[in-house]
Amino acid sequence: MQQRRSLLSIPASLLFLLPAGVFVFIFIILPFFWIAAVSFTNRTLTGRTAVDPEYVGLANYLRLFDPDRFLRSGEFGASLVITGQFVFFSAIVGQVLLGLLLAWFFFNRKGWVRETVQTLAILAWIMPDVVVAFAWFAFLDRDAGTLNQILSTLGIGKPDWLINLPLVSVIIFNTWRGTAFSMLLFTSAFGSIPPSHLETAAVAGANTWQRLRDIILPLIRTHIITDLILITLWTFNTFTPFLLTGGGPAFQTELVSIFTYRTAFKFFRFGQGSAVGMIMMLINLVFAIFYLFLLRRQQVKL
Amino acid sequence: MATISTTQTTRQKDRSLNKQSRTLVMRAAITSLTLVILLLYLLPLGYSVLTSLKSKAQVSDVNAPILPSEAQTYFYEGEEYDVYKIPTAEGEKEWALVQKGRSSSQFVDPQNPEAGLIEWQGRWRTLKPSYQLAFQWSNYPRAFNFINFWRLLGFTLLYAIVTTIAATSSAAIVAYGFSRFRFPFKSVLFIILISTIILPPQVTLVPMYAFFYRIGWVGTWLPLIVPQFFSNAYNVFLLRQYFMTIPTSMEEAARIDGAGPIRTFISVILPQAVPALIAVSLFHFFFAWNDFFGPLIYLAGSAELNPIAVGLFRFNGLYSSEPQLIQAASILTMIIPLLIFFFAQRFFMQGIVVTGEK
Repeated sequence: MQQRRSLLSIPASLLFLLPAGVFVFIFIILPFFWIAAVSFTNRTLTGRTAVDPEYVGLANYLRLFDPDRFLRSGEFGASLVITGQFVFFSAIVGQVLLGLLLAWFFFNRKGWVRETVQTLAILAWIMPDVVVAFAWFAFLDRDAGTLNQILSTLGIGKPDWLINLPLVSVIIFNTWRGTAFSMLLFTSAFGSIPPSHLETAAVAGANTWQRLRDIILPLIRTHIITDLILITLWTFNTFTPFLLTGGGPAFQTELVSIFTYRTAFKFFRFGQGSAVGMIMMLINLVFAIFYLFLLRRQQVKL
Repeated sequence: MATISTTQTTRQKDRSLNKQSRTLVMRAAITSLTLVILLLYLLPLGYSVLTSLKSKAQVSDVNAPILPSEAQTYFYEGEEYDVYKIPTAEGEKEWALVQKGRSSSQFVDPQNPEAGLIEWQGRWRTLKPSYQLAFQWSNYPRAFNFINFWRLLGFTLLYAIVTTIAATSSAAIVAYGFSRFRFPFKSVLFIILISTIILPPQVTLVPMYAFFYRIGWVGTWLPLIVPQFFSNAYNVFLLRQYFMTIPTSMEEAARIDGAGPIRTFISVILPQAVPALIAVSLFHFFFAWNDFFGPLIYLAGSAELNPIAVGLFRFNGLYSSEPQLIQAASILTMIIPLLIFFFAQRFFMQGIVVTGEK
């Protein structure tokens, strides 16, 4: 019976899976092999090399990892270092940790304050990138910006944020933009903890920190890892800081995504751009495998 | 004995009082901390709103107040004069400057113009001009006309609505396939699909661009709209999670009544999955409304087709000397997502909850 039903449903299931099949094949698998192949050529968008690209071997990769220029500003290595700092501070410390703390802070608190904070956090998250970038651009302005007006009333100097501290600005900006997602995810995770667990712990005399460490965190660790995966990858691949700084000044905020854009779409050097794409994909894969490994290990422990 | 018990009760009372006042202090501290966080959070946006209501003169004046305002003036004997704040022996006065002088100037008191001119010793350049609140609402219609808002809005809405319908329905179909059918290599296929979530968009962008360029779609909306008809991994994942929670008893009943899989999908599954479908639609709508990178690349040569996000970016490049218009335009851009958000907040939250549940 079971056997027959599953056999019967094969044609129907194919019908339902067709869009995904087309999607994966045309928009993922083909492009994947395309960039893998093109990354070994000197292909460009137009001109002679567009029609008849030459095989250049590992030249594109060697050029990216050329030790003489690797860490020079505006090159791939420098951009990786910048992205590393950006991901660490604005994704892991900023969004995940801050989101967790905020969710914990509002856990079990009711009333208008919590409602308002949640609403505003989601708002910051759904607002158009361009709008947010413009607001921050004005906010960080050296002379007329609100931030410096506040700092100078407090007696702290007036740094020119986007010129002298561009990476810091971009990190704060991205944290502000994205923390809402983590906060809401953790809020819902906290909501799924059975209240009896916490009550028992309270009766046993556990303090707030012990309750967080020994009960809440272990119970929501799959949420934490899911959040870490999504936030790390989103932050690694985000292009939004481009709207705030354009990658500058002097390439100081040139994240890998912006580096790819510049290589592939400013000069239309597709061979070079594909090589960068391949490496970005590998890095993403390493992140994902690492987190999935954590997830697997945690489950085995149970 | 009696005394001891009294001291004990007072001590207990003291303790409970202490505890009460401590919780009160704690609560006050937490509330004020929350308010500070809230305020910090709101600052950039608040600044944007304030700037959108300022005059051009105020935006470029470093000493102008934070709130939208304009320099106060006063008409005296048919002439318009600026009003300044003047420190005098009887406190600060707001007088209009009539006759400028090097070391002393003549003012008139708007409260009491009959008193005539007042001589004041000191340099008038050291005085601060007096401002009064003034909101430049006219920035909004000006910005609206400047960026040709209707055209941008039209394209953005079209793009958002068409792709939302396409993305949600295709994802629902695929999610149904994955949640209800048994077929060979199902879990492998699902993992392949889900792993596309981690594929950076920039990776497939180059080959997709080359492909769309070859077939002549670059410079049109097609490369942005057509791929959405083939579902995407995140939406499939979200909907599959939800479909799995729907009990199969109703489907079995429908099957016994002779309904095929398509019929079952449309009349049994979809009606039960409305909250998840709305959540996915909302996610996609906001994504499409905010999409900047796609249109920036595919519509680079055809500015007349730009959606709002790119239009605003170009507008910023053209009118960087008019920040108040840029902020006004960007606030106009937010209105539709904001309205949708307030009406559908509940569903939005639900989408995030489903994501968290692995």
